[in-house]
Order: sequence, then C-alpha cells, then structure tokens
Amino acid sequence: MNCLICVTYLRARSVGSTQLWWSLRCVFPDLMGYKGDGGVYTRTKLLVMKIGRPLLQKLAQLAQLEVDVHNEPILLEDLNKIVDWAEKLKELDTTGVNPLVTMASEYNIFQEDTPQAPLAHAKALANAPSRDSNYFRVPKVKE
Amino acid sequence: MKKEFRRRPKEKNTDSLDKLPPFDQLQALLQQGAITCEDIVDRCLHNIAQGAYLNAFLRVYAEEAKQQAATIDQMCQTNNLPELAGMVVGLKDLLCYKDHPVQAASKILRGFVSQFSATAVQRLVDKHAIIVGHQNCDQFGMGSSNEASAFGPVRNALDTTRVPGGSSGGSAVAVQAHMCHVSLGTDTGGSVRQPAAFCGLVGLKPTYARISRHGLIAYASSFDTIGILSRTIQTCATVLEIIAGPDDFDSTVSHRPVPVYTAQLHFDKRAKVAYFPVALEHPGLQPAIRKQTQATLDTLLRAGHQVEAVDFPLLEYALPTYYVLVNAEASANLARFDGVRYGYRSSESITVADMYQKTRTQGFGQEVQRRILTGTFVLSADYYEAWYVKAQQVRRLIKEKLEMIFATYDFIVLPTTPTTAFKIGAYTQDPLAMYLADLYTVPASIAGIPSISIPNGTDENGLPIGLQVMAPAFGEAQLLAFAQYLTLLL
Repeated sequence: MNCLICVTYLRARSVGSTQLWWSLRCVFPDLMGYKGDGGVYTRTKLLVMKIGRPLLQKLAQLAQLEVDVHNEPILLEDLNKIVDWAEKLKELDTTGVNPLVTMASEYNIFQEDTPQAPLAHAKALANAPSRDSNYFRVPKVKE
Repeated sequence: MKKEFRRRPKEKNTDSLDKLPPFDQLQALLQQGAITCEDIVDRCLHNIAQGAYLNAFLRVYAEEAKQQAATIDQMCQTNNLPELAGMVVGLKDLLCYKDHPVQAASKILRGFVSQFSATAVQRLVDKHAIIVGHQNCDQFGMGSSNEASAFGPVRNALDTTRVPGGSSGGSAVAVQAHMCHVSLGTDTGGSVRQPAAFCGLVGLKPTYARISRHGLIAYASSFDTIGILSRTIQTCATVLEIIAGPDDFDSTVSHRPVPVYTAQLHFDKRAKVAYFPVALEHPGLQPAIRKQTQATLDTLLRAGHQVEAVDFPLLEYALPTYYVLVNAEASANLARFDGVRYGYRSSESITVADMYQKTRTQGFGQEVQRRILTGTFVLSADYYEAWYVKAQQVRRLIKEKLEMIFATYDFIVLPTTPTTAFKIGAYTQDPLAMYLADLYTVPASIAGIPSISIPNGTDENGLPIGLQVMAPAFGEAQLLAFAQYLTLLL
C-alpha cells in the first residue's frame, strides 16, 4: 500500500499534476508532510501550508518570476517545507536582542575623491542583448 | 548551449593523469631548469582534456596560458622570478576576469564578457600566475553538490558516481585532478570547505572582508567571501597573502595589515582547542567521520594540547538562520538580472514587464528561483519582522556565542561535513536534505570568522573526510599555522 502511494506521489510530483497532488495530500496528509527535527526528516507530521497559491503568485510577481501551473505544486511543497523548517528559529527567545545588520567592523573609511575614467559607452553597451545608438533597447513599456 | 554530458568511463580514470609538481617546490625546479613552465601548462591542459568527463571546466584559455608560460620560461633565464611564476590557477565561474566571459554557471548571464578583473584575480595576474580557465559551479553558488549548474553536474574524480560537493565543485575537482595548482572559489556557507572535504583538499574561507569582493558576482553580500582551494597549506598561505587587503573598489574590505602568512606557518604553542559534543553526537553525522574526528581530538590531547568539550546549543539554529538571511540577500542581489543591460533575454516578450518575467524564469535555474522566492517571502511586509529580523537577531546570538568561546580557546575543531561525498542525484528532489550538507560550515559564515578544511583520513569506502578548524576573526596566521601543524601530526 505504502509503495503504491509513494509511486503515485512521485508521479504526481514529476508530472506536476496539481489535482492529483492535492487529492493525495487530502487523503494521506500524514504521509506527505515532512517535519524537520535537527536535520532528520521523517514523513510523520502534517505539513502546515503557510504559503498558499495566492501568496505564491504574489511572491512570484514581486520577484518578477512566472510560476506556471506545472511548477506550482512542487514549488508550494518545497517553499512550505523550507518555511516550516525555518520556523525553528521561533523557539529562541530573542527579546531585546539587537539585530545584526552589518558584518563591517570598520567604519568611516574614506578615500580621496579623485575622478577616474568612466566605462566607455561602447563597453557599457557591449553586453546588451539589444541596443540603439547610445541606449539599451527594451520592448515597449506602454500598451 | 547546454553541454552534452559524456558517459562516465567504468574504471576510475585518474591514472592517466600527469601529476603536477607541488607549487611549493616548483620555483626551485624552474630555476634549476629541471622543468619548464610550458611543460607545466601542457600537463594541466592534458589533464583538463583527459578529465573532460568530470565537467570541471566551462572555458579553458589554452593559448593565453601557453603564451604566459613562454614568457615565464624566458624570465627563468634571468634568475628573477615573480612570486607566483609557474602557478596555474583556475577561477570559479563567479569571478570576473577582464575580457573573458563569466556566467555564474547560469543561462541568465549567457554571452556576458567581463569589463574588469576581480581584485583578487588581478593581484594573481600581477604576480604572473597563469589563469587557465573558468570552472563549473552551482548557479550563483547556490548548491552543495554542483548539480545545480546549467552546464550539468561535476563528477568527483575519486568516484565518478559521486558529487564533488559544492558550490565550488568544479574548482575542487580541478585541483584534485591536477588541472591546476590552485582554484579561487567562493564560500558563502561552506562552498569552498565542503568540496575541499569531499575531494581531499585544503579549502580556506578567510574572515569576512579580508579579501575584496570586487568582481565577485554577488549572492549574499554579508556572507560572501573568496576562498582558496589547494593541495597544501603553504600554497594556500602564499595565495592569501597576495590577494588579501584593502581595495579602492570595495568599501567593506578590511584595512587591517595583511600578515606574511607563509613566514608564520610554524606552530609551537600549546593550543587551547574547543569541540562541540552536540556536533559529534548529531544523528546525521556519518559514524566514520565521528570516529575520525574523535581520533584527531585524542591525538591533539596526547600531543599535550588542551582539548575541551564546549556547549553550543545554537548549532541547530545555524542552518535556518543562514537560509533565511542568504535567501533574503539573494532575492535583492539577483534583482539586477533583468535582461536589459547584459546576459540572456527571452525572445518571447512583447512588453517590458513580460520581458523581465520571462527572462528571469527562463534564465535562472530551479534552485535559484526557489531561493529568490523564499527570500521574497521573508522580506515581504507581513513577514519581515517575524522572519528576516528574527534571523538577524539569531545571527547576533551565534556570533556572540562564538566570540565568547574564542575568549577562552584558540580554535574550534569540528567535522567539515556530516557525510562524505554522496551519490549524484541523491538529494536533488529534496532541498532540505541537501541543505544539511552545510550543517557544520554555516556557523563560521554566520559569524564571519575564518575557517579551514583539511584532509582527515578516509571512510570505509576510501572517500576523503574533512576536518574543520575555526579561528577568531582575522586569525588566519594562527589558523594556517595550526592547520599545518595538524597536517604533520595526522
């Protein structure tokens, strides 16, 4: 029985079938949830879906990426697993701890403000996928 | 574009390699006329060609290397050799080398040619090191097995069914298979130390900001360091003292004077060494590595050093902290790849918004997209405090705890990796299992301290085991000396 589920599950993952994947999740949530425990991963607990489809699409839009129907189930599962695993940080009490925002240990290092030759136009444009005289060329911005 | 992967030969193919004389003795040989630099370069090129199935190099600059070798051979006659004459160096595909392509092993930088050299690369070139080519890696350094490259996986030369580690996997295999003396890699969370361990090499991640990051394609700016892969600690020290130090092009690089590391490799102190029982008792640690690390600690104790167990309960929080922060930084750093100014652009787009999305979706690999999305999640308005700020707070806790340990101890010793080199494809479906490969290397990256991996025997399959030594910030001189001492002791 387990084998059959595993095979169906892997198949659902590999073909990226949203429907099959979701129905499997509903029927066998225990088997499909991962829970990280100090690095040992067992499929014992139900995975809490913190990131749903609308949020995933929103994130993709913010990151300027496209997530199509084919990739959605795999990404949802992976992202939720990662987020669920990183949730471990919440066990630690960090009240009053100043966030570490920079690794720099030296401050106010100045240097002389001397003009230097800029990158020549031709060089700056040399790597552009499309260019037009002195400009980068892009598809139209307005509809 | 994608390089077709050659089928692996059944037998191990390292016997046909033309071994390189170690760089530490090379200059004497060159000056005696016992060997020529052209001969060295030919051997490297021969090994690169013989080992093409390992997929370590993405681009080889054969003609240039031969020309430079001829120049050095002329210098040998004048008896005045530059410091790095005869050294053959490979670059991870994240380091810019003027007028040469660089691609981060990703489709998105297809066709990109560097307009300048990374400061570290330039300093090597100035001392007449020979740059032989760019090496395969995980896209943008995001991976622990070198399987996440747009150019296919790299194979471990000791067992071609296994990974070389990552993300600097090509760089490690190149040194392992005598294709170059030294590779410059990058280490964000273990990307130099972990492949060094998997391939039986020396791998150094220096203190954050010890080496300029100018010309290093950014992944996570508060973690990224350039690292060195070599066969010996002497060679590693030689390279470090040349590439480290202030640079006008990187405002974050440290202005502390760079010691002459090669002159300080003798270690004659009684060392105070800490180890973490929590690391040695971790359920994911391969028994052979536990045994070997324990044996090394016992050897140190018998040699008269102080070796003590220290509590480090934060170890299990290191990986989540690391992944929250690097993904956040990656999502910001990789925003620059939009198809406008350089690299790949999707040809299917009609509007500019469409162009950004299609270019990035088609250009970035799967793991890169996963990390960008996770990073976007932890930085988005509703989750910023709970995830990103929380991880920054834990980062401070980890850094301060390690600093506290270094107030009493000189070094921390722990395994480099939980397992030896695993099979290709073992974890490609499970990102979390893959992340675990960095368990022991991320603490040094989180704290920005120097850390080195050195060979420490082999497991039951003959696969190399790595021993990691960490030192306080800017303690490279002591770290290298102690690592050298350990190498002689083991």
